[in-house]
Amino acid sequence: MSTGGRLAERWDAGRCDSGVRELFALAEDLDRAYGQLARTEAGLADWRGPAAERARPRLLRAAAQVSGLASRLRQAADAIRSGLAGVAEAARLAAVPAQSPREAAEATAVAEAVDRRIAAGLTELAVPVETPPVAGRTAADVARWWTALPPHLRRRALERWTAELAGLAGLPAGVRDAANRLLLADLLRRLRTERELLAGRTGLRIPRQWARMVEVRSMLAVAEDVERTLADLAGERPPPQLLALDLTGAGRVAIGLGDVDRARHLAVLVPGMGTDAVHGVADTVRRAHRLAEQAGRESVESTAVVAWIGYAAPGWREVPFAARARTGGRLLAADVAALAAGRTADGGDRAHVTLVGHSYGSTVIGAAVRVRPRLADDLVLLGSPGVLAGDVTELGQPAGRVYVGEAPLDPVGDLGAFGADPGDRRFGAVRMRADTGPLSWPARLAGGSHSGYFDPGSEALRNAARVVAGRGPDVTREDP
Amino acid sequence: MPTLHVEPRVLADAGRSLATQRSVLADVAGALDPTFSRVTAALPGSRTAEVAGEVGVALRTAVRSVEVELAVLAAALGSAAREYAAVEQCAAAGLERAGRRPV
Repeated sequence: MSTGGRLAERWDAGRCDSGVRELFALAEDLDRAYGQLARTEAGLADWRGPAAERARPRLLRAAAQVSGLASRLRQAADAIRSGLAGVAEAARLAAVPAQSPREAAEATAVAEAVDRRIAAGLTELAVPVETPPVAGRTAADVARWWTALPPHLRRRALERWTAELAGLAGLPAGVRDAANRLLLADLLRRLRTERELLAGRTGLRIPRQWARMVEVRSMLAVAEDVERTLADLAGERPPPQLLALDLTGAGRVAIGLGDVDRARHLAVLVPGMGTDAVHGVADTVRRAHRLAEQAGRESVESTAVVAWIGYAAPGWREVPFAARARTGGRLLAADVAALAAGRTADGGDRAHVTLVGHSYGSTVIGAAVRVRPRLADDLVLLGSPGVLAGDVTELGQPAGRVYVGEAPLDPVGDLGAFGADPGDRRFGAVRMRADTGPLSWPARLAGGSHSGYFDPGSEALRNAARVVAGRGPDVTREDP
Repeated sequence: MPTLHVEPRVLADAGRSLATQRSVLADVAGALDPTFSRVTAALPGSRTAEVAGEVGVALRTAVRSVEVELAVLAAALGSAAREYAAVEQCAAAGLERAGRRPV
């Protein structure tokens, strides 16, 4: 091992990265092989006799070994990947010409530190416990745990810890989906039984029983709405992913359209007033679906859109205040960070992320990027009443990465109720055109074009989809 | 006498499936060396390169060992399926012959 001089001078982070990707791909091959072996063993369940008694344990042992090898290989890949940024930085420092002795020593120290860290990770490959990480662990910790978990323990964890995994930030979307679907089926069964029990009681005179009946009906309504929505989209390829499901309070639901773990572009749609889960998920999912479809027309690169019905959206009484936006912003920031961490768990890449906020949903986004700057690459604010900022610089995005769309005849877009009006030229965002098409008089009276941003064929939807698909510079703009 | 329940066709399918997975493992084992080599070549002079090389060799050996076990099991199941099928055919033929004899 070289400790002096420029250790990292010939290091190549790009080549290392391609090796890491290949290691993850080989681990997936082993995952699949394990799955096939497990199915083969299950297919022999009826085989009886002395030969069966000898063959089956050997087959099980071989399957478990393949599963363990997948885990070790993925951990090795993860250990190297975790140091890639450090490798790139060390190589950059080593390549700087004419360093002073102090700078050269510092560069060597950086290289040695990252080298030690990766090497230590590679020497500590061990199968983790199947119990999910306890509360207080970060999404990145959870992602690392899942990365290391062999497929046979993953399967068992899903069966034993369904509710815990369903809400565990940092897991891949595919795992969250599997856990949440199991959870949904279980909740539907239990709530329907409880509803029948309560309905059978005469009178429900005890206030507590009555309150529980109201609660059960409300939770069941959300669960059945989610069930219907997923069934409506069952023909989609890939099928929709149920990423979050919480029936308490206003409810929290997130449904992913497209391959959330692998898509090159990932958008999170944040709806506005009156759109929490209790008031129905279908409308937000429909808008997300239109956005995903349009993004597919705007680019050949893959896109996934998450319909995020994840906060207690305000009604008429709460909408003048920012409190719900701030609470929702914290939840959104955590959920988007969790999606990003989950993508890395099985070797996926970082996505180009866009947050798309409609109406009060844009205020939620404003709050979220205050909590976690650079949460997304691009922000799209449609019919925004304000984003808790005086101008675009307060959102912490790079120049030109905040897009505002304000349809003619949208009374909300000019309110500027939460900070300055984002559609105003002085705010500094990219003002994209957002025509929503011709409006009938009844529609004008019912709120103008505020609800038309996701109408098929509208310029608003086209431009939002362009940003989502990584083609922000191609949006049509308002006259300066 | 132990309880015996055998479906030769199921055993034959299982044998074929194991043979397929053996071949997947052979491919993985063959790809491990060049892949780890790419990592070690990208980090010359580092401790990481040394350890990655060792990990690669250990993993390849372990994958090869499971591959051998799968080959043995695949062959055993395939041959058992053929032998059970032959026994069945033999028994069926015997019964048919017995049925043709005058009582």
